[in-house]
Amino acid sequence: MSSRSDPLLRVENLKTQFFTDAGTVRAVDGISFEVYEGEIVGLVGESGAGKSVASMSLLRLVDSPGQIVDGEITYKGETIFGLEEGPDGDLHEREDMLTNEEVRTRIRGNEIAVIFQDPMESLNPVFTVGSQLREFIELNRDLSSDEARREAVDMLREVGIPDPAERYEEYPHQFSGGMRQRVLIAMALACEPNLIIADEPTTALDVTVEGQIIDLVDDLQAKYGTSFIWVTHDMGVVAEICDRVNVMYLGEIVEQAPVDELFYDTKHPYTEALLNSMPRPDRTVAELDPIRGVMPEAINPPAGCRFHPRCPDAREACKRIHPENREVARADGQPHRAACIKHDVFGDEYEESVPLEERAQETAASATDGGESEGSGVESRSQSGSESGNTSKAGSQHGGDDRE
Amino acid sequence: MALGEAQMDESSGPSEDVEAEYGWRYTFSKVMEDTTARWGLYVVALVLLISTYTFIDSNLSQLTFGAISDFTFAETLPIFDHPERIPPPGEGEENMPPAFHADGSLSNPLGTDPSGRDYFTRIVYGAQVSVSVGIVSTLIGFVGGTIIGAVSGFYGGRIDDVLMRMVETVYAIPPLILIIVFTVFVSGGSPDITYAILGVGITFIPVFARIIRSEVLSVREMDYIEAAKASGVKNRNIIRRHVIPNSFAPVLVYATLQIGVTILIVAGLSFLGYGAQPPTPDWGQMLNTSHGYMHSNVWLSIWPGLAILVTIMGFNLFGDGLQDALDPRIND
Repeated sequence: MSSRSDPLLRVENLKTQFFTDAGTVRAVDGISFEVYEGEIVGLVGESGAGKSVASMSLLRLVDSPGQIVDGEITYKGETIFGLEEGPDGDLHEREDMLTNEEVRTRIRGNEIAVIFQDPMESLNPVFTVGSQLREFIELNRDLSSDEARREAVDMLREVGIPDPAERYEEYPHQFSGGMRQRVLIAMALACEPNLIIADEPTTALDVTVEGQIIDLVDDLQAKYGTSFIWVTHDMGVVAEICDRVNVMYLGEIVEQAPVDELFYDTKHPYTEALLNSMPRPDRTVAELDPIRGVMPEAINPPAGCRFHPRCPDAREACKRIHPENREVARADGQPHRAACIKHDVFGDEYEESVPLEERAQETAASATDGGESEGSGVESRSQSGSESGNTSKAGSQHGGDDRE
Repeated sequence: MALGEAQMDESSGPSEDVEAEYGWRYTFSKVMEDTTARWGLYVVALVLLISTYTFIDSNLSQLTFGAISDFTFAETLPIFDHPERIPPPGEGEENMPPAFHADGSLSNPLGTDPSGRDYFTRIVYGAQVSVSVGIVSTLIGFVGGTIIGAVSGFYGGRIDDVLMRMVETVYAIPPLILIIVFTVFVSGGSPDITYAILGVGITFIPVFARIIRSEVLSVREMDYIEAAKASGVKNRNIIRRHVIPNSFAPVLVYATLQIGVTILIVAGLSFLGYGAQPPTPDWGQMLNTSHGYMHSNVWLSIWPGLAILVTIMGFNLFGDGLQDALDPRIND
């Protein structure tokens, strides 16, 4: 780590929570990562893993009832978000933290720009594409209206829109999805930011257009040297474009590695499951191995390892122990981190215990064997229910310790 | 959407605006396709035309084609107190029936009122009062309601609570009573049409505010709002450039419908004596003065009533057509 210069963006232990009537949703629960200059960093995970909330937190754009409750975000040495303990023991915003006004005028758009997921929804339908682009350039750079217009046309040409001068006068609905995404990229690049957050920018596009957009981003990235945070759920896109990858599950980063390392030396069962569930030409649909179940609610995450209810490698210990994100290997001088007790040096508990899956199968088998007496099945079920109740209690205690 | 895609493939030159499903020209053509809406638009246009460029010289109070031009609202209102006014031949003969009646005369096509004034002239000038009242007070409600609703819906939270509770308080009071109380208090006991306009406008702010707020609640979740925030646009500018233009359509429709309602309410106010004061010709006030003459000359009540009916019908039909034209679900 010390071999590299200071990161462009450093996120440490970021926690964003939503205070709803049903309880506190811990959408982002203590994630840390860095983005270096000229790098494309992936943020991967299923829907609801907290990727978008995490990326919006970087711009302090979390709407009520959401709130960033802990952590530190440093961009180019400036504190976008930071807390310190006051004399009364409560956490206060640090003095060197940028004010809302400073974040709005200096950071958003100028330094960190965003490309949104749905190009159909991200342009205002009542104004021409050109006027929106021009307004955006005028806003963030000191240019006259005419200069901004010229710049806007140049940007449209830059992102590969044919006849930019004519397309400038058109409305968003006259553009196709891919063209609109190009406009959004032009908008993001227009103010020459150092970091662009791309929030699933190709998800709404068909695959050929997706390829074009990725090529375009690749070219532009090489030309401008902009860093990217690429939020996606598509491992294929990750493989194509990212330098380093953060895999998120239920508000936590479970694995962090350079992209090749992640694909060829996967350390976390969740990442492995994601890779296995990817359709590939050499496997038929029947051979696909999707991840079982759905991601639990972030309002009451499972105790221990959050992935354990769906994990094929889960052990008894996984229900209790919340794994820390440790460095498990190094590749090209960069750390490979994974949050799984499999890799704990003192992981006796993991090695010794029986995989939960096998045990579940055993109980299921015994239940069907003694199928005549239904009572026994019910009993075993209620037993397991109370057991899980206990563990969740233990887990919440554990969580409480964490917070202290 | 398929249309947009098809145009994209050509990707040369701007495509035809007429085919676009947005824009004024498209909406207008949509309104014109609808027969009832088209007639509504004609009536509205006619009433607007009459109230802006009347072809009757107010000084003469009779038909003198071509002698229009330079009058202003304030100048023409007390039209029968004009010093240079030449009394028309029919004047003096009170309560003359319309021209098609046996006792009628062509110089007063709709007859005369109990003071011997030409009724047609008064109906035409009454349009000026009614239409300006309808438009101005709807505009007050529209602008006030749009600002309050947009701010309330966009910021949400406490600002929303405070603004909406205020608006609901106004909403809870019966409008006519509120307007009368407002008019009497503000005018200090001498009610006038200006206060009536203001009162009606303020009374309508809550309705507009609520409509635009509900619309803003969905618009503010759109990605382009988020995108504007993420690029550092001021909240005020987001509301002005992105929120209001996109939550505008339903309120616009409601406003056209509301013009008719406003005319009716002000006519009612004038009828009760809180609106236009004599000698200003106003349809409601004309109804008021004529109801004592129902037996001797029923036409005095019929003409202003008919004028109100036709005008409101016009605005409503047009408003309905506009609503259909702006509703994408009906556009298929």
